[in-house]
Amino acid sequence: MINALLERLEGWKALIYPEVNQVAPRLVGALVLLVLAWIVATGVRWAVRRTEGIGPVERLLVRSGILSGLVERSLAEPRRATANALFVCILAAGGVAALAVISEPVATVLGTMMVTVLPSVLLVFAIISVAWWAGRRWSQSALIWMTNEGVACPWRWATFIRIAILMGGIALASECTGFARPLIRDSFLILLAGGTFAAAQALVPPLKAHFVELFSSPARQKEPQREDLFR
Amino acid sequence: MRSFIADSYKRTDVVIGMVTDGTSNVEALTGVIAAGMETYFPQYSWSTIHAFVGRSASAVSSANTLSIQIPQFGLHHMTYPWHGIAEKSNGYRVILEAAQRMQSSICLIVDPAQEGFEGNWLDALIRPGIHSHYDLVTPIYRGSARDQLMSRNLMSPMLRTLFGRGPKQPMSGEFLLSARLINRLLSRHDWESTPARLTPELWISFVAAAENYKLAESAVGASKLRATKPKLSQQAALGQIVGSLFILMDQYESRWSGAMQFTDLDRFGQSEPESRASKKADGLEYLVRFVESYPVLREAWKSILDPHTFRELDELQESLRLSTTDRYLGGALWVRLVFELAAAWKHRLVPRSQLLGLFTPLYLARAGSFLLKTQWMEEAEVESEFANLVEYFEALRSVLQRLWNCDAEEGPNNQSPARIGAEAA
Repeated sequence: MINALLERLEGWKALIYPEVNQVAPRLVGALVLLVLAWIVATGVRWAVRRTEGIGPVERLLVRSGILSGLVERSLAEPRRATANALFVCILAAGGVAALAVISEPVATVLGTMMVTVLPSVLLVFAIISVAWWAGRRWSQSALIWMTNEGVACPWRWATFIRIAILMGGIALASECTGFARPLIRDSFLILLAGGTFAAAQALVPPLKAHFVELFSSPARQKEPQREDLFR
Repeated sequence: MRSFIADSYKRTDVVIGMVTDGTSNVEALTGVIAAGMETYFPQYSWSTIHAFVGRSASAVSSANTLSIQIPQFGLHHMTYPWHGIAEKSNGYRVILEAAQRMQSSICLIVDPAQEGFEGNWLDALIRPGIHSHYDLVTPIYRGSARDQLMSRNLMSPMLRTLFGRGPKQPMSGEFLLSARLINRLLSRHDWESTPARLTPELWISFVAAAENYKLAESAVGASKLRATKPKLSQQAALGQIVGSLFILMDQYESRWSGAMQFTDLDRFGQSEPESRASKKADGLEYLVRFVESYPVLREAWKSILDPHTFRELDELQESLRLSTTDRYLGGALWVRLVFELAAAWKHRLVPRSQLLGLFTPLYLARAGSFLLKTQWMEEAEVESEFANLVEYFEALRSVLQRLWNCDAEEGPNNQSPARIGAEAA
């Protein structure tokens, strides 16, 4: 009984050992690569965090407002965000290299997918990012303008502008990638038509006067003369 | 243009220019000027130049045509094709070019919408220029200082803070320029810049103060500007004025970055304050607008103001909302708001157009507070309020410099605007 068991174990050993001999070095290699990538990424993150001042790219990102939504207004945060982004990128590159050591076909498939899909993903990301940024900026401008002009419900208008611009970005992205094109395009057009109708009510005279009269507070309806205030 | 004027006109001692869009009664004003010159300066040769800008049935047929009219020389109407935008600054430019070509020693600009203009204004404004050789003479109007909200609450104190001296009326439509200043202005290449185009009077005052020209003020009668329907909304008008101020501050940064001695301008004549002349309202409607705007714009202000300043603003709004009328937007808070917004404009903490929009309700709050506070004050007390405000501006000048010069993208633990603002507070 015991002998039979030992014989079976020997058989398994003969079967497993070559596999282990073949896979183990790859696993170790992949692990070493990952550790190396982690060390490099950590080093880069540490170095970037320690550098003083803000680079031109970060300056542009801060001024454009792209980063501000993520990191509030703290001016030290863009540096941390950049360091973390670099950390993730280097670690991901190490991961892909480690995957290639373990299984070349999987890495090849992954690489091929990245080459074919990544440009589209990046394009969509870029379009939606720009739309998000433009929506945020223009909606804020509209909010301030409408508040000063005494237009009623400025929050709603600003939100509408923001949604419309973001929706436009999504529609454009879907046009570029072909993803759910008709559905998104039609939704956007409906939104745009509704917005145009409302804006026409609000802005085109004599509808504007009617609108202002309907929704403005009594204090704002009585506009003081310019000479009173700006002399 | 130059040859056009040179060929047409001979040498004149005094040029009096008016820029009009054709809606003012220029003939009546010309009559007043003729009588005044005859009375006060019979020994000098003089001529008036009317620059018509904009669309007007009586003056020009096209919006892009700028015409000049010199009644003194019997030329009823001559039209010069202007290949730019026919606006006020171009009218000034034509008048100054004409004055230069006519080798005039001084040029007086008069606002045709000024219905309070009298012959003795000529004496008050021209005499310091002719006899004492001042480069820029601006008026001090008789009447309540409460009627000069923008000049006295912002522009005049800012000019004084930046350059140590500044006229009380840097945006008045009547002022006198010397030949030296005329030459300097005409040699500049920024006539198409935003400040020169949109606020030419402020631009001229700013240039004169920044470049150390001799400035003086002269007391004149009460200002009675013809009431016109505003062409711009309040926020657009305020955006133009304040935006021009910030642009000029940026342009002349090197001139105000150092230490400064504060001096009063030489003053001619005695201004006659009126005990209770101001017809201005109590300013409550401006405060109401500020309170109404506050919930919407609160976060935007919070993002650009230093926490201490913002907390004070918050408390002010709360007390106004609860109708506690003994709380005003006082001088100290107003000065810090102006300086912090100027620094935010400089460092682009928010887009500049948005920042100017954010300034509007704050200015309304200041205007309303000031009107409410001074409602029952005598004129001397109102002047004392302005003097206190100017002191605040002067005392916090170093704060403005630090806010303006610090790198907005430095960390909050360094010389950030927020920290400097908190220190000032």
